[in-house]
Amino acid sequence: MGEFGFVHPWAFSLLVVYGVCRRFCPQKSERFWFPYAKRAAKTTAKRRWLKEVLRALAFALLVTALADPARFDSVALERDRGYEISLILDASGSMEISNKFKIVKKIIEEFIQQRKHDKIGLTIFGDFAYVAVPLTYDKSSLLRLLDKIEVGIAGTHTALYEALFISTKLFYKSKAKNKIAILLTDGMESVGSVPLRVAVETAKKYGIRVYTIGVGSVGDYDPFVLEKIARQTGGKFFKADSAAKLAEVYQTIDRLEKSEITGERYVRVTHYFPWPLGAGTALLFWLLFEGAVRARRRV
Amino acid sequence: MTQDERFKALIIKARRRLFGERAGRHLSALKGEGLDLAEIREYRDGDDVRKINWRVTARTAQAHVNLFEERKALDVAAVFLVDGAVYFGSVRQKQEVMAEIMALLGFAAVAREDRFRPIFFERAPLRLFRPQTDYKGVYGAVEYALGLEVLGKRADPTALADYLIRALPRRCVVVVVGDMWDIPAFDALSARHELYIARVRDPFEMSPAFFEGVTLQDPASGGAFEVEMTQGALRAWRQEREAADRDFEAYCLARGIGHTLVWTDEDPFEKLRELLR
Repeated sequence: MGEFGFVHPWAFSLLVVYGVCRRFCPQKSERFWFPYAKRAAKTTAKRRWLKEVLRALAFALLVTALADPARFDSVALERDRGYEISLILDASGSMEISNKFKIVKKIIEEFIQQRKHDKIGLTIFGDFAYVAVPLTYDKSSLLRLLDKIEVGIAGTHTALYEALFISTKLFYKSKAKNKIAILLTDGMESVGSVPLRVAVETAKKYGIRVYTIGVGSVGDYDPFVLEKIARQTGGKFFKADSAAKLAEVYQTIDRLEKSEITGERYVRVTHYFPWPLGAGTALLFWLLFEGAVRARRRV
Repeated sequence: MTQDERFKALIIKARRRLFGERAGRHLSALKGEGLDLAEIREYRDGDDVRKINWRVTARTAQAHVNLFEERKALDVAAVFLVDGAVYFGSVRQKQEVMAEIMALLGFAAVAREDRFRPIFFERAPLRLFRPQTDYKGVYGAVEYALGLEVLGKRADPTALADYLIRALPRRCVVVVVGDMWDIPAFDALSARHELYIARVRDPFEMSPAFFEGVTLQDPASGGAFEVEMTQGALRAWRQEREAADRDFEAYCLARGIGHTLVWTDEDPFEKLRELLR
């Protein structure tokens, strides 16, 4: 349940204006000399009071409508405008050397936490590639799963292109404007069943920018392939030979692909102004109608 | 119509009413007799049949008549109560009707060789005329009554009663002409003088069917009041006025005070004749 409030609360200041006007600039009505006018006013006071209250009520209802009462529902993101990011993580055996995998996981965790408003998926590859987590806003599940992934979970080899290909499938029904894949590896394609060209074309077809990160020394991975993937999909290739460098790479990507709606609140507003507007207008018409009927009766 | 024209029309009407018709020759309270009974004797030819004492006639089976002390000239004090409430009228202005009543009383008194004492009173006497014995004197009072500025004036009947008790040493006929809502404290006054009250009222006052949301200005206080004259409010107003009238009449009846309500759409002469019969 969201909060209840008014879109234009300043409109209520009109009530003060109304009060001041009623007090200091009363409506000009016809004036007659009449004996014992004070007693006549006293006799009719009850009726007059009722009418005055109804008039004020009608005005208050219209002012309330102008103030636009609304329910502000909890922050919801405009999904279409956010990013969809597929993290492709190498879990082959070589990632265990120098504790790389743990360092990478830690840096990725931080990255995930920073991308608050984006959908993120996770693809793991080794001998084969599989989607560990499809694109989701549920960061806590994603982090929980990431925590459970260990080196060798998908085998010890490197199915690099397959991983890219499979992860592109995550975007199959995506409507997001910005689709990103971040491919991290410390090895070269060794067992894949998908050719590089197919993987890259698929990525291009879905409009996915692929950032590639080579971890470790240049000889471990194939910088040309990674460079090629990045270039052809409009992404960028990074080399990271230290934990600090890797962290920097992710920060760079984070900066480059800054979600437009980061920090922007989207609030679902449900307007209720038709209710007071309808009631106020009905009351106003009743007052006018009643006055007209009475006037006709006198003629 | 200018005030002068109104004055002339009013005088002509009052005189014609009083002297132009047989039925209207007498405003009978001004009996032309002394008020003190001298004796009751048997009826003789030529006696006024109106003087027959029916009680004694019935008891003795012989016609008897009342004989009064030799006729003395009466003092007829006609009090014009000056109050803003008379600044109103849908047919005729209440003030004008009151002036006509003053004229009728004045002419009747002068015709009977009584002394006519017009008194214009608000909280205190505004204008005192010497006792008038001729028509000319009456004209002055009527002209003054017509031209009097009543707006912003509020009469005090209690002060009037005190004043009349002090100012009129001899018993006399007092006719108070005006518009009163509340019951006046006239007990002492009615005990001392022969008292009549002629209240003047406009029919529209009883049922002020104004359009919605008018401002009524009190001619006595000048105060302005917004009113909503709905059907319910009109009914309540009418009931309030009728209840006040009933109380007023009951008060007058209990104290032997002659009372009449003269409406602005009727002939005041008839009402006066009934009152003073």
